[in-house]
Formats: sequence, C-alpha cells, structure tokens
Amino acid sequence: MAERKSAKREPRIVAFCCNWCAYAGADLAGVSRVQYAPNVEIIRTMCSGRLDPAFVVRAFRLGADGVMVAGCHEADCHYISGNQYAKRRVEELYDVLDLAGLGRDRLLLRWINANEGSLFAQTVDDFVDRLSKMSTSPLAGNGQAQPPSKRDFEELVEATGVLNCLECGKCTASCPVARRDPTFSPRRIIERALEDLADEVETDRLLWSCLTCEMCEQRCPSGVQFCDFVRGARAEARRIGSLGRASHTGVALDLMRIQGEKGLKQNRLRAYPEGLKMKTKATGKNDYLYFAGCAPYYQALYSELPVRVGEIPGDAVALLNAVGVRPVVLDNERCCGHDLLWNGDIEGFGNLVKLNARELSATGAGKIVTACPECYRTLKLDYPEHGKFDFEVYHISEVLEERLGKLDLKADKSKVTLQDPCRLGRHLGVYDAPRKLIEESGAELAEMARSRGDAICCGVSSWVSCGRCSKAVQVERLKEAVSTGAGRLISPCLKCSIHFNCALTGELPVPRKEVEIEIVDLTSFLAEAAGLKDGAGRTEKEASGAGKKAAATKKPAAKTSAKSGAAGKKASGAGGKKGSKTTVKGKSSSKGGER
Amino acid sequence: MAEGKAKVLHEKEVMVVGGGVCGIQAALDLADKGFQVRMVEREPTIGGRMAILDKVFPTNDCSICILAPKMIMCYNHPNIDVMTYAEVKKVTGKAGDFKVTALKKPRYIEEDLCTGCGDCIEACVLAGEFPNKWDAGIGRRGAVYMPFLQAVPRIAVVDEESCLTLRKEKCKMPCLRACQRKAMNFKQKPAEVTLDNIGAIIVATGLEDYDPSEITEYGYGRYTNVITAMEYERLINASGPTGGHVHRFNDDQRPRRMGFIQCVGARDLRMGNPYCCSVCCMYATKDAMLAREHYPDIESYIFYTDLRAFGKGFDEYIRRGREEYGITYIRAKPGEVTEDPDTKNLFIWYEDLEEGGIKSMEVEFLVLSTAFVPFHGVENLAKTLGVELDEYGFFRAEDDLLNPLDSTRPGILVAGACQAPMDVTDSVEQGGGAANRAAEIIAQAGKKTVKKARKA
Repeated sequence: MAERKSAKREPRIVAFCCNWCAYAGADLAGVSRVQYAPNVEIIRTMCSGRLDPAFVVRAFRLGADGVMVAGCHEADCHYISGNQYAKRRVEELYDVLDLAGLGRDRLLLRWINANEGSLFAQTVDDFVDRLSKMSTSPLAGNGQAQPPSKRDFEELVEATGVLNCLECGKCTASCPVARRDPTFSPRRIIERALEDLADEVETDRLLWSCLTCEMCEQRCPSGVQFCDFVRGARAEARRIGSLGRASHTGVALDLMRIQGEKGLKQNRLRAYPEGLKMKTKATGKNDYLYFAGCAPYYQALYSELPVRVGEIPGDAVALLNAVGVRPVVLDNERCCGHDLLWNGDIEGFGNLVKLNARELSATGAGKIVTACPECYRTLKLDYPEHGKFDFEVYHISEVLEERLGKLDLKADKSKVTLQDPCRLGRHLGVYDAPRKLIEESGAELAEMARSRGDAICCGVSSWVSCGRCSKAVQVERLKEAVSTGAGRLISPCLKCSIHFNCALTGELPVPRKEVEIEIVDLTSFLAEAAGLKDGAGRTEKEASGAGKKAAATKKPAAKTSAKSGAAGKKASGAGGKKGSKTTVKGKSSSKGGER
Repeated sequence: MAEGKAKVLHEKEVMVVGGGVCGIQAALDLADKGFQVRMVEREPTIGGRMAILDKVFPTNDCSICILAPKMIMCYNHPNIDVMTYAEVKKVTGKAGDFKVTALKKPRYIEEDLCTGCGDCIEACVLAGEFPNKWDAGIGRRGAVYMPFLQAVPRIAVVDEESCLTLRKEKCKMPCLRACQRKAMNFKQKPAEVTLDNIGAIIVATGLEDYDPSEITEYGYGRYTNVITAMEYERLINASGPTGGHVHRFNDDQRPRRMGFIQCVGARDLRMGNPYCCSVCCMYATKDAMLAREHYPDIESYIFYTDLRAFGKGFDEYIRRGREEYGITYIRAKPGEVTEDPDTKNLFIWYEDLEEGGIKSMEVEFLVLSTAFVPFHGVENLAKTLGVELDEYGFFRAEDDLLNPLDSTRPGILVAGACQAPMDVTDSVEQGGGAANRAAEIIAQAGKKTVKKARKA
C-alpha cells in the first residue's frame, strides 16, 4: 500500500523473449557488455507464439508497469509462424489494455534477432523511458491475494441442505458432466460431505468439474443446493491453498482481479458506438443503469472466434433507447465478479462488489438492467448478500417485454431456436420473456428437445474447466439445436455464444453439418429485428417513439451517420463532446420518456 | 349386514361426506348400529378410487369384486340415504346438532325413472368424444355417460360441459327418443337440500393422483409411452377401456420391458410434497406382478428411493414380487427419461449406486408411480366445514396420536386418505373408527339433554 501511495517508482518490466532470437539477442547484449536499464525481468519462451494472453494479464495484475514481447523477425520464425500468433495476441491485448484504462503503450512487441544485442538494449532503454513518462501502474501494489477468511465446513453443509440428501443419485443421473465423466458424481461428493470429510472434498480435483448449472438442484427432490455447496467448498479449497482450475490459463479471471483494483480507471465507453442516448447520472430512482459486463473484454480476447459479443452493449442501449429508456452507463464499471465468486475467490469478488456498489450507488439510479445472465444473477442474488445493495435488477428481456408495444420488431420469418442459459433459466427462472420477444419478432421459434429447465449447459462455467467433457456437452447441445431445423441458435448469454462457437472450431467428433449453426446473441438479434443495427436509428433523437412513422424516418438518418463519422458524431452528440458520452439534460430526457 | 331389517334407533343422524371405501364402511357400520346415515357424494357414483383399481395389494384380490357388494349394500341399506352428485355447501351448529345444506347437481336424468339401460349413452351424438376421467382419460365417453360398468347408482348422467343441448348448441337430441322411460330432463336445476338433524359429520373425501406433467424430466405428456400408475391400472383392468390388454400408445404393441419410477410427486420438496405417499412401493409391485400374470415374458424394473413395505404382509409381498414374479428392484431415482424418436422406446437414465457411473435402461413402457395429493377443491370444503388443513392440504387431525379421527372442529371427523395418504386397509379401518367416534359424539351430546330432563 505504501508503495502505491508514493507518486513514482522505477518502472518494472516483464519481457517474454523467444529462445532463438530475442533471448539470444539479450544474451548477446549481456556478453557484449552493452549497458541497458536494469528494470527488465526476462522470461524465456521457446517461441514468441507461446505467449498466452494470460501471461501478459498476469504480469500486469502482479504490478508490472510494462510488458515486452520479443521474437524473431517476421518470416524468420523458427517455427514458421509462431511470431504471427504472438502478433495477433498482442493486438488483442492492446484493446484489452485500452479498455482497462492501462493503455496500450504499456505493452511492447518487437522483433529482435540473435545478432541484435544492441537493438535489444536500445529497445529496453526506450521502453523504460516511455514508461517513466507514464504514471506508475495502478496495479503496482498488487502482490499475493490475502488469504480468504475461514468458513466452517459444517456450516456450509448445513446451509446448503446437504443433510437432506436421500442418496438417490438423481443429481448424478441428471448431471451433464457425470454423463460423460464417470469419475464425477455429485452424489458421491455430497456423501463425503455427509461423512464430514472436508479435506477430501476440498482437495478433490473433481470439485472443479461441476458446471454449477443447477440441473441437479432443479431435479433434487430433497432441496440439496449442490451448486451453492460447490461454490462454498471451492472457497474453502482456496483457503487451504488450492489454486483450483481455470481455462485459458486464467486470463479472464486475472482481468477480473485487475478490475478489483481501486486505482484503475477504465475506458469502457469506448465500446459503445456513437449516437446512443446515455447518461452518467440518474435523474431519479426510476432511472435504469445499464450494466454492460465483460462483453467488450471478451470481444477483444476472443476475436479469433466468429463471435460479435462486443456489439451487445451498443445493441442493448439502442434497444433501451427505442423503448424510451435512456440508461445510465459507466466508464469505470467493474466486472460483476461472477466468475471469481464461482471460482472460490471470495476476496477478489468482494473487491469488485465494494467498488461496484459504490460506483453504482453514486449514479443515483434505482434499477439495473443487464443483458448478461451472469451479471444478472450476481447483481440480483449475490450482491445483496455481500453488503448493502438496493437495486432492482432486471434482465434486458424483461425490460423489453414489458414495453413490447414500443418495439417494432421485424425479423425475417426463418426458424430459430433458443438456448436457455443456466443463470437466466434455472438460477432465476426467466424462460418466457426471451420467448415472447422472439415470438413477437416474427421469427419462428423451434424448441430443442430439452428446453427451459431441462436445457443442457454450454459446457463451461466461470472459466473454471474446459476439456473433452465440455466439448462433448457442447456438441450434444449443438446437435439438438441443428435437429430443430433452425438456421440460427439464439443465445441470451454471451458466454454460451463464445463456448458454442469455440466448440465449432477445430476437430469435431461428428460430421460438421450435424452441429454447425449460426449463433446469435439475443440482444443483437432483437436489435437487428428492430432495425437498430449498423447505427440505424441511433442518430434519431425521437427514437423513443418507435413505430412505423419513426421507422420510416430512421433509414436516411442512419445512412448519413454511417457515411460520415464526423457529421454523424456532430448530429448525435446531444450535448456531449466525447461522442457517445452524452450529458444528462438532453432533449429526450426532459420529455420524461425514461420509463 | 342385516339388510332391510335394521331400524333407526337413534334420533340424531350422521352425515358421511364422500362415498369411497372409507365412507361406505363408516356408513354401513353406523347404519347397522341403528343410525340414519346421510351420505353425500360429489361424483355421480359411489365407490371412489377403489372402484377403478384392478387389484388390491397385498392379496391381489379383484378390487371391484370386493367393493361392489359393499357399494350396493350401502346404497340399498334402509338406514342409508345416498345422495350422489351433490356437494356440501353450508354447515352450521355444533357437535350433536348440525344443520347441513347440500347442493344436488342436476344429472338431467330423473333418478327414479332411469333404469341404467344405457340406451341414451349409445344414442348420444357425441358418444366417445370425451376422455373419461374414470378411465384415467384413456377410455372415452359421450355427453351422457355412466362412469364405469359397476357404477352405483346405475343412473346415467349428462355432463353439462359436453352436452350440445346444455351448451345451447344445435343437437337433434336422439337421447330423448332413445330413452323409453322418458327419464331425460334437460330442465333440471340444481336443488338445495337442508338436513337439520345431523349429530356428527364424517369427512371421507379421499384423494387425487398427482399430475406429473410438471416433473418435466420424466416426460409425462411429452412422450407417448410414459403413463401414470392410474392409467396403467385402467389398462390392465379387464373392465377397463382396453379390456385388460396393456399396449403401447404409438404402435398398439404390448411392451416386453417395463419401467416403474417411484415417488413421483412424493418425498419431493419441489412441489411441497415431502411426505411418503405410503402406497407406491406396494402398488408398483402389484402392477408389475399383474403384468407378469398377463404376459409371462414381461420384464419389470422398479426404480425406488427406499422400499417401504411396512404393513402386514407387505414385505412378503415384495419378496414374492422379486422371487416369483421376477421383478427387478433398482435403488436409484432416475434423473431423466429420453425417448427414441423412431421406436418411441424410453431410456431411463440413473446412477448405479452400487457400481457407480450413469446407466441408461431402455424400456418400452414407463409407469410413473404417482403420489396421492389432496383432492382439488379441498380448501373450499375445509372452509365450508370450518375445519383446518395441514400444510399439505390434508385435513388436520385434532391430535395425531391420541385422537387421530377428530378434525379441528368438534363433531366433525376426518377419515381415510383425505387426512393422510393411505391404502384400502387403513381407509376401511379409519371408516370403522370414525363410525364409532360419531356414535360416541352423538351419545355424549345426548347425555346432557337426558340429564337435564331428569333434573326437571
């Protein structure tokens, strides 16, 4: 803490250097006695292609001021194209760093050959120079997380209804994981908990296999809350030193931990297209705050997948505008912490709760609307349990369904099917609102063999585990989707979209045509059906009065905004200088069309 | 017993609400003691649940064969006045002196003219158009119908909601011409009947079967060959809609491999039924035995949570099921049932609790052993009677241990499956017990007047 308070310190740099070129270059600099700044710690990788985005994010989380990635010159890679992977990943990370408010300048990519010792030295010196001119990383004080507080295992067993277990095995027989991984059995885990074998439960690798999809809870006749038990046991496991499991080397989780840092100032508004009606302060308790969640980060991280989750926040706000809601949005909104919570990182979650609660309360809004089922669950159920949090929380489908009259949805009549995400469905029981909206859009909804409460999961949860089992679950679900004859799978959850898309990359255990289907986010689907995509309608100041007349005038306006960005910006900036960040006293807000 | 000979020896009458096996037993016992009994039955026939069962455990007696004589005895007993198709609407007074108003619903058939010949039933233009609830919806009926072959009284009834004439739609009314006794009367109106000499009331309104459609994982209502135990009961019943032939609904083939899932809607907190339904272990065994008796090569698998064979002869019954009838009992509650879209066979997914791992068993027919739940409309009746219900909607006993048949209102008794799920044996016992308690209540109430008379 003390270190953070001091205004300035020497920049600290972590450098990832490839074995064949950059590391050899550094070596040459060393043996040639070339003097360069001692601020760098070098980590050797066999190839710059080994660079996992998680490495960079982890380095920043642990307090690095800058990260340098160095590899062979282009077309010179010892593994043909490894450095191209590094380049692509660094470019993704630029976006992530910009969003997080750390800035892309803290990440450096350089091609340095084995005979370029002096270039290496010069690069380091220049980078130190650049970083010295910048402020110290807001994460500089980060080190090891504090040990989580102790919670009694017996208390957990009692609180989650484990004692009611009849040992009938219905949970295991319902579990999408157990069906593919015979070593996993919720009943056996519960059985061990009943025998008070806390250590065995907490050190078991299988504790991290649970998808927490609540299929078992929904079917359990005795009310055992297995998923809550797993969540609690994971926290206990971390307390005794388990690192748990994390897919993608934990990059998403580290990004969340970074957001739990008080000093961080993110630039989340850059994720919104121009011309939306938003504000930063509420005029009253009836105002909605739109909670965007991690969509922009995931868009950056998973740009290799054909996902467009980054469009969700813009689409959501456009839809809200269309029904007369001008939401409050935050530049420095933090991750809701869902994934940390379900990973057992109670401390990391607690940091985010504290920061969000303060920031959200400061806006004066009384209602929160989100398009992310995970944010929805967490803000609605978990935040109030971790402190004062007086908000009404809604999923966007609920808010839109209530105002269906104001939406002019015109999707084409093609057949679509719908995934029921576990957080939205089984956790919170929202099944009808998305269906109503799809029905209203004009598209034909074909239900999958297992839908609503019986819908199977997307195979991954909270970035805890991903593997063969996940893929098998995903393939099964996609098969169900394809066999409905639908052309598109609509998913109200961006994670489901990402995971299903991921399953479709690479090799498949079944013929591709049995599983291949276009996956569309519900919010984006609705925005498209409402004619709000590609900036259409966003420049329209009277967009709140949707309807045929408004729709007719929308088109030309959209074209102008699309053609000339500057002109569009000017037209759209209802009083705001910074593009989308419009001020409170806009024309439409005075009309009282907020609700 | 002493048909036609019994005389009314007591001034006060007893009302029995519900004409199932429990109510019948109570009525007969009281009538034979010399009490005038007024029986009110909501349905067009007495007999209740037992009348539509095929066999009863643990003896595998033919259910209707042992019940029908009692039904007839009850209906014909000179001391018992059976009012069918009627409901209790108002109860005033106190123990020993109640005044009860009942509403007799119109049958649209004159009860004293109808001979039960069935000519109107055959004539009805809508014959076979509606599912018959007495056949668990498998058999069909017309707008005028007889609930089942052995209905007592043997008087047809016109269903208001089905009949074209009563729905004010066009109908040539062939039923009117068919009836040689001129018993059809579409002008009948509901009639109130007031009984003001009731000393005690016995409530024996029975139960209802749990509707498993909300347990979506078992696919009832979604998969063709998933049925409830009561539907099975009607299928295997020789006087049922299929004449006792069990067949699948998609291809009319008889199944060779059947599954039973126990505790469907019982011991389940989700719908608020944590109680044991107390009968499904036994009746599933019975159902599987009957299947084997009809078809010696049939295999039955019963998926149970716990085998609760607690009554007299019950454990032996299960053993017979296992040893003589080849029933396989599997301790597991299946998580899910899936259907093969081509064969319409079903896969039961369960955890093998002995060897571990999830298994799936393919069966051709799946019977869900559904629980007993309080009957529809029980809250209204409780309100009318002024008695309390327990948290599940069964009638609350004044004291479960020492006074299990008294309701929370003095003078009103609760017996049979309306106060807790129970089997035939227990219902009969409770009916007899309630009859005794009713006599006692009337005697106690009468004593005060006798004493007063002496003093005067």
